Amino acid sequence: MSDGLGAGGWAKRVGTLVLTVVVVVGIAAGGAFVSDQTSDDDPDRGVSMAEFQPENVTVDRAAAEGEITPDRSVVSEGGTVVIDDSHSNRWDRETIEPLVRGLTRVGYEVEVHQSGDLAAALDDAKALVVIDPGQELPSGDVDDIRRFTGQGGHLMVAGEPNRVGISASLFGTSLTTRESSLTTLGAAYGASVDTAYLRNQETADVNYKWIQTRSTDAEGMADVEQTSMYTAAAVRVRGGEPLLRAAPETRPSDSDDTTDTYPVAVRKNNAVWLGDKTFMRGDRYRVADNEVFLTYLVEFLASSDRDTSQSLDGDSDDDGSGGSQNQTVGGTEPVDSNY
Amino acid sequence: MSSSIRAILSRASRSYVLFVAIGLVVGLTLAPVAFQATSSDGTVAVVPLSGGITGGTSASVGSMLEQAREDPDIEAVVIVSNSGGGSASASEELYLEAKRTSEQMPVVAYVDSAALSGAYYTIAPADTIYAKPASLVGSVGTLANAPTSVEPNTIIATTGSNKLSGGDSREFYTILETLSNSFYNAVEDGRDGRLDITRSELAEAKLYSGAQAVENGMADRIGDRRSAVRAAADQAELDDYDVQILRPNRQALFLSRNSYLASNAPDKRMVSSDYFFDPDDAAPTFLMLPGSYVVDTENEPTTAARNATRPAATAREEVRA
Repeated sequence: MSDGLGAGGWAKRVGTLVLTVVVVVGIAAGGAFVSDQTSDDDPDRGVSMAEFQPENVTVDRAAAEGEITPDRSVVSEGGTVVIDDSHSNRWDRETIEPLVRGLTRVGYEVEVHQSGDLAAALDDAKALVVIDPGQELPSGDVDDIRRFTGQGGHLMVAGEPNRVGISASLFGTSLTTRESSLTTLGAAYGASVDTAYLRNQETADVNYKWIQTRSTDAEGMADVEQTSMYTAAAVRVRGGEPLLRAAPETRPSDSDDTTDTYPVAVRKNNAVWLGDKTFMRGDRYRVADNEVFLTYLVEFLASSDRDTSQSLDGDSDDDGSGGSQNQTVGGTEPVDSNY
Repeated sequence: MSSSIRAILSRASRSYVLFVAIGLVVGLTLAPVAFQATSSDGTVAVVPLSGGITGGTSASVGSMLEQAREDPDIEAVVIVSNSGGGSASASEELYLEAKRTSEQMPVVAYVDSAALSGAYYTIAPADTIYAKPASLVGSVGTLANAPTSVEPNTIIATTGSNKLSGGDSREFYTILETLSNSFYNAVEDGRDGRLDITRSELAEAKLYSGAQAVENGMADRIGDRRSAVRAAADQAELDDYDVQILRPNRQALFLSRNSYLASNAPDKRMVSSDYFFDPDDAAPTFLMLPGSYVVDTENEPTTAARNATRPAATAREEVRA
């Protein structure tokens, strides 16, 4: 070599160079490893997620169990309950099935009045059920019902607040408003069903529109502790006795007023007014004590002492109108002998 | 020839010209380093949250926030919101990214046109929230199309009673409430005692103007973008700071014309409500959006209906309990 370095000198220098490279690369790699350890092993380092933990977000629901168990000793011997379906009423089989089951268990027949003369349909009935009519009852029908209850017939009316629904079709979606047409019938009984739904963000069965109610001290309500109602309206009946009141802090959808404890079920003599129809539906009637309240309603409907030999027309059992077109459900014999 | 070159070099070495030239070269080389070293204590990054929140938004904004966390020069972040929210899942993702960032550096939010629902969720961890009178804040909660009630039949067989439906309506609402409870918790956690409304009032999902939001504690101060940037710099203790505006790598999709008009996103467009929500969907879509953004109240064909790629829909009317 011209610079005087021997083979050993070159080897030392190359070795030093390689060692230097190894040390530098090693330090870099070690640093990267340490960095990876601190970032990847704990990706949520410094981030607490207590607000997402199950115990802080899950919802407790009221149990859905139990059955309608009417006491046969408090009901009248057999009879017919008419369910109105002649005023564009909005109910389906799922809505009335638990109620019908309860009535047939105590030996009652259920007739669905679809058209024709209401008085004729009520002539041999013990009770009438009116659920969420889509059109106002004409004065003649209201008069018939007044005479019916005047003779001891029992009346159960289930209204709803105004409901806004979404209609979807090939041509798009639109909003529609439905309201229970209970003005004429309610006026005849000094009753009204609010148009606003009740809501409660704190005490509810899962959703703020599924309010919880508490029973009052009214007779027959001792076994009802708490019920759930699903988009219910407040009900007011002049001189009536509330059966169920919404839980404290419940307020109407159109107001922030929490000063009132809103009644959602009221009885006055032989008429019961309800602010919700959904609580008695097949998939809801077991929630909380709904089935106990429904038992109360079955017993109420089946405890009329109306003498069915009386005509509602006052002069004849047949007013010549050709009668009414009814469908009969159930029978006079109890379905379940246990009841 | 060589003697003349030597003469020139000799003259140059004796004059100041060569030294000045060398000084300029060296000075210009070092100037940027010196400038950086003396002009700024750090950088405030501005992260825009524009349009409806989807997985793409979440990835894009999340990436910007991650960039802010990893850039040693960035000392604080300002999130500028022009969004009414969007997908519940993507909103949760963004919330966690924002929270992760706020654990590391000051995060200030500025509500330009709106920070509603999922967008408010995103900015909930901010140390300070600025709004102006025309800003919209709130709509805290979740919505979803209720699943169609179906059961196994002769066409579709299942191994479990809820395999098709996922559960009954109470189950569905329970899921909805669980999502919302997480949202409420996040807001309460982020506001850290500054809310002047109760949890129940928060859950009512009202919209508030900027002034109302400051009054009820959903925002902290009235101010604009500059106010928010200055506050972020102050919180990071930066006397001198740079502002770096981060840009999303995707188009912003707006459901609200209000936010669309207010946004200065370079790439933006309006989309139909059925981009996010189609009531005909059998499976629920969980959204953190104001309901008014997705319910088309005009009886006009939706895009989905116009496209009509699925079997002709039969009219369906729902009034849910």
